[in-house]
Amino acid sequence: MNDQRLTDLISQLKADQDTLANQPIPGLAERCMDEAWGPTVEFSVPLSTAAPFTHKLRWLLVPVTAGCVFLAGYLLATRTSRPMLQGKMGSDAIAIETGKSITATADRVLPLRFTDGSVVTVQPKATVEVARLTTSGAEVLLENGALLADIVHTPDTQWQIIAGPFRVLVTGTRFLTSYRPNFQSLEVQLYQGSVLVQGPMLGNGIPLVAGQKLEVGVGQAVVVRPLHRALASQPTPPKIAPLIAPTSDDWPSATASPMEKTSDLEPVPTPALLPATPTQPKAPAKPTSPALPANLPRSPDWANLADEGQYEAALEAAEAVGFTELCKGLPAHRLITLADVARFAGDPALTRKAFESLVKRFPRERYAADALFGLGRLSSETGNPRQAARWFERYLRDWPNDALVEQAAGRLLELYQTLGDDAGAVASAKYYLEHHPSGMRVTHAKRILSDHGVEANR
Amino acid sequence: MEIVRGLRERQAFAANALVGQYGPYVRRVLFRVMGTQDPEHEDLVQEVFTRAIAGIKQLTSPGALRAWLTQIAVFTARGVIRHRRRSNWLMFLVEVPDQPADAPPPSVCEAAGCVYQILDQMPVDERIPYSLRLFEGMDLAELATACGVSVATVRRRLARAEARFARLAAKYEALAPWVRST
Repeated sequence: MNDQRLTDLISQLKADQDTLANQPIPGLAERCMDEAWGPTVEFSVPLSTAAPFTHKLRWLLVPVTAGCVFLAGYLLATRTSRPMLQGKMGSDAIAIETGKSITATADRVLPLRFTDGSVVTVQPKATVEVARLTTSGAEVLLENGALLADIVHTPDTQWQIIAGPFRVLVTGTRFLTSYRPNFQSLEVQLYQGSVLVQGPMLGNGIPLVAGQKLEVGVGQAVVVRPLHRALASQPTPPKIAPLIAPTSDDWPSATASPMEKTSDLEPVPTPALLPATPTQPKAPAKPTSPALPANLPRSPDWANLADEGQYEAALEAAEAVGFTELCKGLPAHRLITLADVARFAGDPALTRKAFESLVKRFPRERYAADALFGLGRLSSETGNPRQAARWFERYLRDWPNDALVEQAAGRLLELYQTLGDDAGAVASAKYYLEHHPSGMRVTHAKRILSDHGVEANR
Repeated sequence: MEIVRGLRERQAFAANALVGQYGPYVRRVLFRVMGTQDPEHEDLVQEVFTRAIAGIKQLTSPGALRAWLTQIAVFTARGVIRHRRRSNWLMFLVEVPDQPADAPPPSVCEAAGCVYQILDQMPVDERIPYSLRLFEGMDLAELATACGVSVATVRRRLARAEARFARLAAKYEALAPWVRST
């Protein structure tokens, strides 16, 4: 590596950062004081019709930021005298601290009990984090493994279980959530109540009712099916340990294990898969990829290592077998895993190879959409905006109704600007406004057209 | 120190002085670790100062105020990075700020983006000391204090981070003019 040249680059970056750092943030000290020390005056005016800025009512006119949303929530909580939720874990009733990882041992569950009566039971070997506690619920991160949630319903209940890119919004339910971070795959089994699951592949969110099971993963089909049928039809036992509910103590106790109740469920008609638009390619019932050639060395090692999150070792194992051979012989659903391994191990060249192989060999399979989007992103990250634009355009052309089309169209706006390609920028801005009139980048697209003297059609 | 004493007594002048005097420094530390394109930057700055103001009683040595703020900034950034990695597939799309008239040429912008994309791929406990060493020039003792680990540990992490950065940087074409050996 050329140290002098890198030093020169770093110096330039530093100078830019220093310039920005010297710019003050208006109102920062006051917001910090209010958040740290609390408000100095109680008010009865709704925040949306707040009085003009005064010395004492100094928090009312504040820009909308995440910190101020929190502050508003805190003020509202103190004004209405609702206590923040608190939690205790295990039989020792140790106070739960937000922001700290909690891992259950391999041989037992770990119950987390909250003052609203809700119980989150961390299954053996699973890791969670209570990220936030509010007056009406909590935000729990499921890092890996499974948890059983018994959430008490009230009109204001707002709980969230976040697993990777997925969110389960809860208003009063009992359900099991399992997350595999290596494959970004989520499973939700709902026993009581209803939830809304959000995240990639899920559009505006998938509602589930009691007796349903949802399985989703980035790069995989979304499946919703009856819970008891899913259990009966599973070819292999679930990898999570048997569900165990915590025993009662002086805090509100959990209900019985849901496994005892599933047999009481009435058969639920199989819900339709995500409704397909007329032009959406049909997802095949089974992967149509050819069987692995018999002479290809069996290499479960790389896949096992990937499953354990050891991506660099997994990539080394895959390369030892022959990365190119794997790209030529693996079925689509394994090839996307191989690409993920290369991506997480930080090897863009091999990631690109796996993605390109997938697109070439399985152009009509759903995984090809993820590969095309991944190639666009990869090319952006490695400083190839022209190539990135081609991949995103192909993605939009081949999979016009896919989950990430708005992201891809938005990305094209930036890429053509980076390239200084005026015609491309205008075309991408028109495309974006036509196909995503309510998208996140509407302002950006309109600005591009305005800068080029083109009127936005409405 | 007047600022620390004033914060303990919940005096507004002390909070104003803290933010005024150390605001640029805290912003710089967060820029070193997170880059300048992070949409949550101002929220993170606010979080750092809120924690400092609320937790001022934990500061036993007023003379170590700057080091203490560095520590809070590092831990705040670390928490955000860890949280984002749990849901990062769609997070690469950030708002493109308006380019100022004197913006550096596109190649430097691309290279800057690549530097932070490489940092994004590094384990957080390597990324933080490496970025602070690279951009802020912190010595081992300062890094150890900021990260809450021993000097030996930070030295090991730096060595791994340097090797990883060099390996990853070699794969980015936009960085080629800066990393290609002469």
